[in-house]
Amino acid sequence: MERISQRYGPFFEPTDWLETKYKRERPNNAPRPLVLNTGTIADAAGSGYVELGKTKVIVAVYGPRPPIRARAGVENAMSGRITCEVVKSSFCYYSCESAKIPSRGFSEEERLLSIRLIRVFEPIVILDKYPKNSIDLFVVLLEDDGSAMAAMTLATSLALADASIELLSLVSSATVAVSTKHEYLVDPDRIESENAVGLITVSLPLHAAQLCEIQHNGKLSVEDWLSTVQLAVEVAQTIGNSISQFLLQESKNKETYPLSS
Amino acid sequence: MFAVSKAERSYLLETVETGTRLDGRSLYEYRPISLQVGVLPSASGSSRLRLGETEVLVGVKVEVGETAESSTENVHIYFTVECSGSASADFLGREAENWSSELQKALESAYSAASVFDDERLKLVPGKFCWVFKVDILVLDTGGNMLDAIGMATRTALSTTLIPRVNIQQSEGTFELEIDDNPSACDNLKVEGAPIFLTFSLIGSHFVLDPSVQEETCSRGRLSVAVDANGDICYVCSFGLLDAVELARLLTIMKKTGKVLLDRLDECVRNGNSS
Repeated sequence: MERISQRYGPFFEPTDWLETKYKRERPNNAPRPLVLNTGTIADAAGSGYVELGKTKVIVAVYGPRPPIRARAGVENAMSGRITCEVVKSSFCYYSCESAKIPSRGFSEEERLLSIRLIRVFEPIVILDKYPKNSIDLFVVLLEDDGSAMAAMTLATSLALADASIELLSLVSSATVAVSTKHEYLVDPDRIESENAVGLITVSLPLHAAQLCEIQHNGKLSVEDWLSTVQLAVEVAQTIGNSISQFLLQESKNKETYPLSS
Repeated sequence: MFAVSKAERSYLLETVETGTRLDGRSLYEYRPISLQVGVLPSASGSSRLRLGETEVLVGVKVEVGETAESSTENVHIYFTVECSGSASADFLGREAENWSSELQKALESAYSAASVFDDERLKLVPGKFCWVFKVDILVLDTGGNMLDAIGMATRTALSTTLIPRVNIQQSEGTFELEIDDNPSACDNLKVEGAPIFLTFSLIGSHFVLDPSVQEETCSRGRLSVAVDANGDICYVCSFGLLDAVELARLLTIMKKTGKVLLDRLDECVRNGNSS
């Protein structure tokens, strides 16, 4: 019984959780344990898998390949394009939210996430090198326990690198929530994000002092907002370093493998 | 789809480099705004706003609805954005849906963060009945920067919205709502806390406020921020490679311009009502 309720979340709308039961089990400035993997999908040109605590994302990259669904002008375009399909699995929803699962097609949220992901990677992928081609991203959000967009960005970054698609830089991402008690919570889980006063997700390329995407929901003063962004940038940079470490390790393993066999 | 030729693009980029823009504006200047209120007789509040070539029409409908027992809100607000197919070739099929869900999301997020409707007079029966505001937005023409135009038009439409007075009678645990049918027995909705959006486009290495459609086509990125009258930030969305160091400067400009715009909008509505 215990196990089922843990797995599928509450059967009722969790309204007063934060005040009564909820307690953050790690320091405010610590992200959750990060699990990275590449090459999980055999068929794809490249794939990435990321776990941020209970948030799990898998991304497959197909391409560069000629566009499957031809749109006027794309076949002759001088630069490539990115398409993206985000799917939230049914494990992302609480039992009380079953009405939110789309019966067919994509939900509004999935559509918005796809647009955001394309916008993050459009300036990063060197699309001029892939004229008349499309790079197709297929993202499955296996489980959503907060900071889903950050996890998706990380996984896509891994998958694109795994597919050997030319990028300006690896992209890293982090979420910071500002709680009602005005604490900065790094990498918030779902309850923390839903109860936050402000929630900021920042994506940035690792090798430049620039930002690819900022998304902020909630109300903050300008000073608070800037310091929250600053914190998110620092966290994203640390996460980014571990991603590049991981990819280096992976490529070394790949190099030695054919020699020994 | 709007397109610019290579020559046009490089001319635009060079002009922005010198600190002016193709239509003669400075970098942080809005296009002329014209505003009309009370354009839809069947809506409780409405406005029509023209920002340069961009034109939007907003209608607000007010209803009494039932609410969940746990909810403490006085008002449920729903936004629907419709991008008219005649406005732009971008608004065909899927594209229109993407545009409207994005704009809707921005409005929802900004209004829920700003807690606009904390007015005591809007209280019906907490946990039982609440006001339902349906804001219908129609984009009639696009000349760039739809979000800002929509934000301003929505705020003005809400500020001219009339709320009928309601008598609440309680008898044995059931509530009876009696809506005053005298058309003059209405209160004006207070929207001091409602945010407006300000959008920057990144062109070359410069940021320009209120981009026109040409500028949007040539831009490398965008930064949209919702600010309220206190200068607090209610929503941010940016994409494209922005310099991290520029953020603080841009936000100060936004705070200042936002204040000026909000004051001007309020003044326009006040003068329009009195004359």
